[in-house]
Amino acid sequence: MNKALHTEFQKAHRRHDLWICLAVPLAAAIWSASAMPRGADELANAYSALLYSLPVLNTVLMPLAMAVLASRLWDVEVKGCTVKLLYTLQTRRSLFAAKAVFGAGEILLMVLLELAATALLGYIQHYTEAFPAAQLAYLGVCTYGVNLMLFFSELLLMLVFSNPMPALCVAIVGTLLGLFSAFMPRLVSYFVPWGYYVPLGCYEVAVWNEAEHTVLYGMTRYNWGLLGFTMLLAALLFAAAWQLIRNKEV
Amino acid sequence: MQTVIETKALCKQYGSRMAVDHVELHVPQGCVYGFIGPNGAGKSTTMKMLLGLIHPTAGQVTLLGQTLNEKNRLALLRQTGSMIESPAGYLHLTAQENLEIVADLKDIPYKDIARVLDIVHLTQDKNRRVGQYSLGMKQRLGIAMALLGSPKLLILDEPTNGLDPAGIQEMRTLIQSMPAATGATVLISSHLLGEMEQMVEQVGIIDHGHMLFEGPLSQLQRHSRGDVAVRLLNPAKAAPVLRANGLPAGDSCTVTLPPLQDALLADLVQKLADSGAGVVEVTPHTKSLEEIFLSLTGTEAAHHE
Amino acid sequence: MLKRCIRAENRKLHTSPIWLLFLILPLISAGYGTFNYLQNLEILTDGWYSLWTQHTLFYSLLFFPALVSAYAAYLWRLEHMGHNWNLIMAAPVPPFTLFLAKLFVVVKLMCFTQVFVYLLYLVCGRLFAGFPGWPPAETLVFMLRGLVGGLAVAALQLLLAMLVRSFAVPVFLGLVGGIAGMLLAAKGYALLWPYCLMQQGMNSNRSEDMLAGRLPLFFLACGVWLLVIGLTARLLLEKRDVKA
Repeated sequence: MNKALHTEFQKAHRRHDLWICLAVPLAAAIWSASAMPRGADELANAYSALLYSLPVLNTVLMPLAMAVLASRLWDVEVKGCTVKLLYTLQTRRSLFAAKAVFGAGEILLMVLLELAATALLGYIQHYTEAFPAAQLAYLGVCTYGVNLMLFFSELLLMLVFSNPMPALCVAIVGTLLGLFSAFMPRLVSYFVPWGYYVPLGCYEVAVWNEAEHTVLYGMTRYNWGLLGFTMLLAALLFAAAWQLIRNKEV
Repeated sequence: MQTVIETKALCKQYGSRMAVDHVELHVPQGCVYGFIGPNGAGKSTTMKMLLGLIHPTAGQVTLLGQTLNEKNRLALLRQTGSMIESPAGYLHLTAQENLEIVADLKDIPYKDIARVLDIVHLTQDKNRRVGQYSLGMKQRLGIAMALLGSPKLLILDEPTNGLDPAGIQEMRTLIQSMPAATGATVLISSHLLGEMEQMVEQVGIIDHGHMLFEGPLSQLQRHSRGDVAVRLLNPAKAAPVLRANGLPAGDSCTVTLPPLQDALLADLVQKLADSGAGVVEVTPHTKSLEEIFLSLTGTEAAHHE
Repeated sequence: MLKRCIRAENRKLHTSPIWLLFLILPLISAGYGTFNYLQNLEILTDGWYSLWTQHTLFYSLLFFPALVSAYAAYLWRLEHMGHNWNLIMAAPVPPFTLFLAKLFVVVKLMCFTQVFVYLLYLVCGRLFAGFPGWPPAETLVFMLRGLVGGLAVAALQLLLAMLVRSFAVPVFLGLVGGIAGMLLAAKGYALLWPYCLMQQGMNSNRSEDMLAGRLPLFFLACGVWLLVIGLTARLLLEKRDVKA
């Protein structure tokens, strides 16, 4: 297993996927930063505002980023015709495990960078609200969970078609559905896994003063049920992808 | 002599088509075995089953004395080098990096890489990306991957594809020398019998999923007995003798006899000479291996239709 | 010459399921737009104009660039695979014609999509929103302007897909470009970034015409971007060595 993971690192050499892991948090940070809070009342509310909007940003950015990571991870084998060779050198289990661990690692890096960027943004822009460590950690876990689920769904598509196009197209459609479901009644969003970032978020608009354009955010309960369901979906998709690798005839 | 590869009633069915139909292979240790058949005959499918890449519909494979199963597959493959169909390689990495990946997976020290690169003459290009390689170079890299770790068994699917004439000659020399140099057994497939003739000792001929022939090359060559042309000075006198032996007669000075066993031929020539026909020349036509191959596969195809 | 190239491109696309995307995305976008309009009738009081913004907001901001980039990436993937670069560059046509042919094919599909978006807008407006009569002719102008703005995105994505051999990366860059466009437009730099041009033309943010009085400038921006991208593509195609 260690050996298999080591070879995944060797294959990643010059593939520049690390840039994707950097680009997503960077885009999210720039996006967040562009809505810079002004005035004392907004600064006092700034982390809440940020953590309220991050799930929506993730809904736009993450599905496609997951499709990119998953498709590139397998596309390298498709392009090089290396699957046959690898199956004579290592167990299918170790190949799949290495791919899964490598992908999960890339996603973890992406999520951690995004969290770090959030904290940094608060520091630079001098937010006066108390640092919501627990909420940030919860957001990280939720983002990671949904990311993993989408990653394995895209990996599955990539394995079935040996072509990145279907995975990418599904990701684009999924992003659109996810984004729309964010603005639909809560019940609708439960049927759109690409948009789970939003119903998993733990902030809501409590008071919206239309005249003065001020928003007060409130906290909702952590959505453990949906997080559990997300993990279950991720596990199912993981198992499906593993079955596909195990039974694939090359 | 131990058998390194043995298959028993190996079958692979795709839908209703039998891609491989009860194939029995016997590859003796320390030889170069040529696995020959036209395109689509079932060579690659058979080789993939030998490596456990695809599962046989029926039958079994024995490698290096052990029946191949999921448990011992990788242990057996660790002593095997292979290249199936198109050569593999990560296009964004260099040859050296590609070989490092294979070496890691085979658990072989990196110092062996220099040796195999040297064998396939890629040492100078080892730091170029494989994406920039020509087809022949990719092919050679594929062979280098197979050679890494000095395996006891080499399974090469059409390894001379895409090589230039000099490359083909080199590959032949290399493969021919493998058994003596490293004690390896080589199974090599091709759709060209001509290029195999010069490097293999054993051959198996496959067509439409059936094995048509398996044995030493010399035995195949014995099939090469062809027609015998006899030139006579006096064909009229020969006619009764020929008719008596059930052979067609004419007034041409050259009579073509079907393939005959040596003793029968000697007897017939004696009789012709005695009849006063004046035997001037007896010329046996030997079939080229290509013709044998075509006649073997041709009959089989006719037999199937 | 160009005609033959376009015919060749069309043939390559035969039986490719990618056009499905062009059908599905506007449908989802229209469905959501209508739903959202009906949910927020008290805020959205401009009738046909309000429905237009709801229909086209996300579409022109984010999904149009992603859509076009997927299509452009697909067109070039055909050439990146195997040794097709050698084949097309050795064909007896100027290399830049190939680029133009691909642009033409993308634009053709874009036209269909725009018309489809507009038809859905009409149907939803009459059927679900229950508007009497027909939308103001201005919305038709918005749609056509969106097409002009989209040209720059199509050209830029074709250029990116030509340079990046991976299918996924240019698509991702298209999305990032769209997001950047959204942020830049909010700051008022819309005409300086090609990904903004589509949404500016479509007028998808508000009811009043964002380009009122700036229309020549808009067309100038579209023209300049197209020219810059086209020239870059031409230079790269003609000067760079073919890597198959």
